[in-house]
Amino acid sequence: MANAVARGRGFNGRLLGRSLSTAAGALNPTARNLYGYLFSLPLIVLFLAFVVYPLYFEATQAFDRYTYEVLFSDPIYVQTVVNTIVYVGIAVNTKLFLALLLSGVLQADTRGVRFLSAIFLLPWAIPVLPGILSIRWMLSSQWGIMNLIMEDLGFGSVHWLASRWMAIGALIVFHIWKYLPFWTVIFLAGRRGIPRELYEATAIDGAGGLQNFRYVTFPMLKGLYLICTLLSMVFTLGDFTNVWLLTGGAPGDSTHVLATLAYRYTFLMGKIDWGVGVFATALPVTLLFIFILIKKIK
Amino acid sequence: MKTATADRPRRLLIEVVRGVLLALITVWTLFPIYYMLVLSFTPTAELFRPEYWVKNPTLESYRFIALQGSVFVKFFWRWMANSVLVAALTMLAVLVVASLGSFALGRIRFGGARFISGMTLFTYIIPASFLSIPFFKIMGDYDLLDTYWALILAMTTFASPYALWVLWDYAKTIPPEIDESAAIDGAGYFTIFWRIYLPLVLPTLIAIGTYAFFFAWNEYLYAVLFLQSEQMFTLPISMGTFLTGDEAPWNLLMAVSTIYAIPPVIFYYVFRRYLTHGLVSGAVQGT
Amino acid sequence: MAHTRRDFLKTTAAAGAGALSGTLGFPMVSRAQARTVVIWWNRGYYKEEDEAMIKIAQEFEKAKNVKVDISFTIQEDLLKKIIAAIQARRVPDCAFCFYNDWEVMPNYAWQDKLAETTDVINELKPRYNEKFLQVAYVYNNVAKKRAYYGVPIEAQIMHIHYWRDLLKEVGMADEPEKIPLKWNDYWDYWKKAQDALRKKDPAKYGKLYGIGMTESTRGSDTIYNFEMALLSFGGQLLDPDGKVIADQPKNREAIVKAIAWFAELYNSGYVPPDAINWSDGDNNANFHSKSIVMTPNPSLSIPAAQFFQSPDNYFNKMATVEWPDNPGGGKASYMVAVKTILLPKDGKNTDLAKEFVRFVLEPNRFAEYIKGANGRWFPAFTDVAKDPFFAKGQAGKGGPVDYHIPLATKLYLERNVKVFDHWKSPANSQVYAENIWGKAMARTNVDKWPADKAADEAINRMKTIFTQWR
Repeated sequence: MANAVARGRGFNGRLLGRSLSTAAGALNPTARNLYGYLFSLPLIVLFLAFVVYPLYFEATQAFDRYTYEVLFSDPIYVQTVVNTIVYVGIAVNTKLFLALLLSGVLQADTRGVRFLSAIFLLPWAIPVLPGILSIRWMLSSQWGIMNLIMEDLGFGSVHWLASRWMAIGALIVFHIWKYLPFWTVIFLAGRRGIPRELYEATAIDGAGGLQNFRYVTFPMLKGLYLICTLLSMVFTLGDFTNVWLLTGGAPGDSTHVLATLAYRYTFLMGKIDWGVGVFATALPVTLLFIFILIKKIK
Repeated sequence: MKTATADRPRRLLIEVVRGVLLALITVWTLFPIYYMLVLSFTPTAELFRPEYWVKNPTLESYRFIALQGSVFVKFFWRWMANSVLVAALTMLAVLVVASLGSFALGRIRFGGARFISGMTLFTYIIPASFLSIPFFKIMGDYDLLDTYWALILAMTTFASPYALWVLWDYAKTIPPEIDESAAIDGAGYFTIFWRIYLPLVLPTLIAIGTYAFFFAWNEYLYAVLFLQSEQMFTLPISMGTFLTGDEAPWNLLMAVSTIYAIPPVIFYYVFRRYLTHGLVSGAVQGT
Repeated sequence: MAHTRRDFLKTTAAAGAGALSGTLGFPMVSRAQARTVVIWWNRGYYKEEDEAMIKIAQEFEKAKNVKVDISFTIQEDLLKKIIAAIQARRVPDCAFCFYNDWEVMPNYAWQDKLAETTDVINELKPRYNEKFLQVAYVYNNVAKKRAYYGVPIEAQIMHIHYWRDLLKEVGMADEPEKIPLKWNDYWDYWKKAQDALRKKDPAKYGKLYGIGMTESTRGSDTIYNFEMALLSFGGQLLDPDGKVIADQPKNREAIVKAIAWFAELYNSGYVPPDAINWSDGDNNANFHSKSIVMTPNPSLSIPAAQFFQSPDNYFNKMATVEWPDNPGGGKASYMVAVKTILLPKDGKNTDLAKEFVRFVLEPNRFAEYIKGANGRWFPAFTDVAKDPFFAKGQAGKGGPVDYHIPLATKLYLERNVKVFDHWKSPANSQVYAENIWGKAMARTNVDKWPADKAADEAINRMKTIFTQWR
């Protein structure tokens, strides 16, 4: 796997091309197709049964007027849509921006990189639950360590999870804690892919760090950055676990995101059509994002 | 580059800033994990009096877990076994699906390759939670709720695309001459797959198998949806139930958390070289 | 159709996985055998409850020569399991879940998914506490009639628990009979305790609060608290036919008063700030850790837990008292929830399940079962309620006087009791499931809305839910 990256793209591409053309000689196209589909059969079955069918099921809900009537008349649904936009927008963009900066800081020396893989990736390596539960207790107004720190610093206690925007802020902070390491590694790899000669060329022109970033790093990373942003936004759009276990929608069901609201409707109220409706209403935007992404990545 | 070395005070400043930054990041990164450990060693009597460290550390919580001595960990070992079982079977299923699929994509040129790769990409990107409710309904229709199969099927669906990519990426580096010579000897695709392809991708199989294992190990949403009887729980579900109980034994919860987090962390440190590279090539492939 | 698909799947899966399943402990689906009754039961809080039920099931097997397939699940998961089962039409013959009366029965009786139980109820009627029976008399929108679609068995009511030793520590009267019961005096008493304790020992009691009042959307405790306060202020939400009357001026005024009162309480600094996030267990946890002086709790779970952990606490250091008298005078009225057994209509052995229910509810057998819950529940049957246990409680098992169970019994028998209104309309189940009054409290407490605006939003929401119901 490491080699695959190290050897570079061009080599792979040529190799693949040749492999296909020669293997093609062995069998006629129909038989090849048959084998191709045969080998991908498990994949296709899973896709049809558990991706296509659920989406179809949701899409049919999207054409039911009752779904919209019910959802849009619920103030909690409206709050949830706002929350989701804020959460996804701020958490993802802050995280990726920090990841871009941090990858620059860590890029320069090998010690930084070693540090990165030794400690910094820990939040990403441990499962979600231990991290989120630990932070939940840290933020308890009465018993949490955050308030102990606040008091020892003379600020007085704060009711972290007892207000809508503070709770969403906590979610954003947790999101950054958990996923910043991963994206930093991605950008680090992206930076390493930039040919050194480009920097040397600007250095001759007397460029400093900032100019380097502006004229070399950023243009080279732009495409990667955009894809990462879209990808991370789509992933975060479906977040359930973090929100459910940190706030559970509290206070006053004002901190739900799409997935937790759908769960609440479906399993706490027995309203499966409402729950499906929540996703159905978000489907157009999500699918648009996904198709842009697929176009960009392919 | 060389001009910078002349400017010593500036370099020193950069070093200091970098040092401070690293220190901050270390605290930021480790604190929640440190606090989890602290709580897991905290005696119940001191749980409601926050401290920066444990004054009277105790193994009480871990003893409760080992002996299943509290309602919250009544079936701890069963839950652990369930988690391992689901993860192991997911691993097997993902290995089968992804190795077959990557062989089709990488070694057989056929009409549907574009469609298949687009399909896996789509599955990789779409948030799993968006499919959860219909998924739940399907499992209900087939009477698979409260069985491990439901969870294994879901995990296989969502873990396969990434596994496939990593494998595919590696498969591309295998020289084509190997296939060719086999084909000349009259070997069919199945023989090539079994005799040549699989042995060659074995190291990658180990890595993606472990990836699939922990993908399932970490899952919360689908586990909560599908597994309903207490005996069927996986560890994360059991941790969620702490939040709805009549008591708040957070020291016990954090001890369960710690035990639960250890296997993936070990895995990470063993495989980290593969992982970081594999992730890069897989997650942002083609850029 | 569904069955053939499943059978197909079973045969294919069984061929490959049968052996594996057996050794690895997969549950092989073995339902639908003749004369097996499938029972899903709520896991008890104490192992005595489950043991008593298992014993009953074994007796039933012997008596009727059948097989009883009984499984126990905690309530949150059982609710999900029952909803999923009814929707997928793969149901048990009999299900008992603590959420049945609120969430399941009104909704699924409406959809004609439950078996009618009028025959069982009529047989048991002479034994029933009539007030409790109402909860199962729900509407079937397919048959277009009201009938019994469940069998109520046990009830819970609001109680207030407090730490006697905390009051004693600051020289306040701690005997239950000395707690002032006038509305304002009552709440001020706990506030006074907080002030005094914090003043006496700031280091120890700096984060202690006087009143552990749940005001969240997560807790069903909130619904009890709100409805109790609403009764105190003389308001009503539904008329006897299940029509919304919350918007009538008198009722709206009471709702506004109640919400304003909760807001004042929360903002006064005498309620823990996290109380707007609490789940049902959080006030228990706060109480056990002595972070609050008192808490309203709609079951005896708190003393029951102490009875096992520390009989000294149970008998000497804590007590249970009434909800205070109405602000306008008169003893408080009480909301009661009555837990109910259901028989899904698609069950394969409904008649046998009814036999089982009758068997469980025979006086001696049921008394043994309900006493296993250590006073957490009060029987819906007058003969079982006469058991000395409910009059004397745990007296003699660690202390001379029980200050908890006998008080609860007194509330059930001597106060004006009213069951929750879910039975009137499934739309009202939705109102409770959404916890709109908890939402109104969040509006005043977090968003700082005035009480009347929050009340109007909730009332409108309630009306919307009723109009949209189908």
